[in-house]
Amino acid sequence: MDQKHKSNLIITCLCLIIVFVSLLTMYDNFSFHTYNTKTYYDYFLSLNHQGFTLQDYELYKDQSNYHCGDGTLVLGKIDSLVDGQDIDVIIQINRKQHIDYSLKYLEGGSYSLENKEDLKNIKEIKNVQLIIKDDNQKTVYQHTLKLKQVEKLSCSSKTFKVENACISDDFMRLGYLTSTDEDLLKKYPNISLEYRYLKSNKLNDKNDKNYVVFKKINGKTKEIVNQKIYQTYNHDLNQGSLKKKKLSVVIILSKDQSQKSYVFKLNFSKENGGLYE
Amino acid sequence: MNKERYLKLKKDFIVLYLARNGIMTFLITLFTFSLDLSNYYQISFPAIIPYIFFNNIFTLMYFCLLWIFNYLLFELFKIINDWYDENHYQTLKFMYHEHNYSISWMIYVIMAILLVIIQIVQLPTLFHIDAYLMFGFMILRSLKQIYKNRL
Repeated sequence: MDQKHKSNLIITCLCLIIVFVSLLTMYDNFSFHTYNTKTYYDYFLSLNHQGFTLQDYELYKDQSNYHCGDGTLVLGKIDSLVDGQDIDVIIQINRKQHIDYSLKYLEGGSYSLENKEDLKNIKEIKNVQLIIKDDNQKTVYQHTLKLKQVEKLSCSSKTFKVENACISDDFMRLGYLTSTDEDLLKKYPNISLEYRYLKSNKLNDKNDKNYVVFKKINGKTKEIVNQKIYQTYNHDLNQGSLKKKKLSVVIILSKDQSQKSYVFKLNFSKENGGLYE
Repeated sequence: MNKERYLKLKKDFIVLYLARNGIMTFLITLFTFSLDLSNYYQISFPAIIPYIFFNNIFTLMYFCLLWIFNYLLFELFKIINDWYDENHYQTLKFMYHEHNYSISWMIYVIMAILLVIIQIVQLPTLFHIDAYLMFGFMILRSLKQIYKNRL
């Protein structure tokens, strides 16, 4: 091999080693920010028809979470029913699968619909109906529910990320915190998350006094971070639409609950959709 | 005027020709990322391309890094392959259609061993796809060299 080829070979090898080491060291960050949770569907169902209302009934599924429920149903007048009669409230999805709730009829009654088990084999939601059957299994009410797609929020720094947060006017799914910084998580066993919004968008967003903390989550770092467990928050509309507010989360990592040790904030921004639907 | 345009076109073509390895390794990296991410997110090939470039800086940086890595790997292969061909080590010679062909088979044996190792080693799918495509590209280049160096 002549001198020119030799020098080319050495330079290429050196560069290759540098790039290879960079590829190895950067892989964790790359995969953390690239391979996100895949959401199969994410909707809120609502109804407002002849005295029947359903608000923010959640239908949501990703690789590790499934949630249907949490909505508030108010029943209207059905002539053939009397108060106290047993009824089946059915949420029928794509005309095939259904979620059943056994209730007692009360005109104007408000019911909280709890979370139910996973509906298998549903990849997308096309049509959802609310069906009410009396104790003889005769359909006494049927109406199509309005599907409202949520607005997804994203929020990340180099090693921390809040996944699966979403928002409507009066509701927020708070998402879950994930991180690749294992050393930091081990160093600080306690964590506190403070979800907050700016009182007015005109105020200085660097001043902490201009924020309203609407949800606090405290606990052990290992039980909260990377656990894919999320909470929700119901917002009072009198305070203004949550969608229009500047949202952020303050993350406080500490060795001891009383001692603040490592504090930083992440701002929420609306995610450019398309990929997850 | 026509001649000027012809010369300009020729110049552009030469630039493209000189950058052919860069372009090819870019396409290989793009194909690798698109295939891996479209499998992960279960969405179409074209829909994933904006995600590679506009999702976040970490994805884009890693894409560029893998592209540079592929380019350097290919350059390294070229240097070794050419040196090997020039020295006629472990060559297999044969005649076909009145031309003498010479194949340095040892390089293919080494590549096959490397490919088996890559297959066995637990790597992320992204690197598996990239390795197969790069090996394919390298073999194509060495076949071209065999054809070019025939007597």
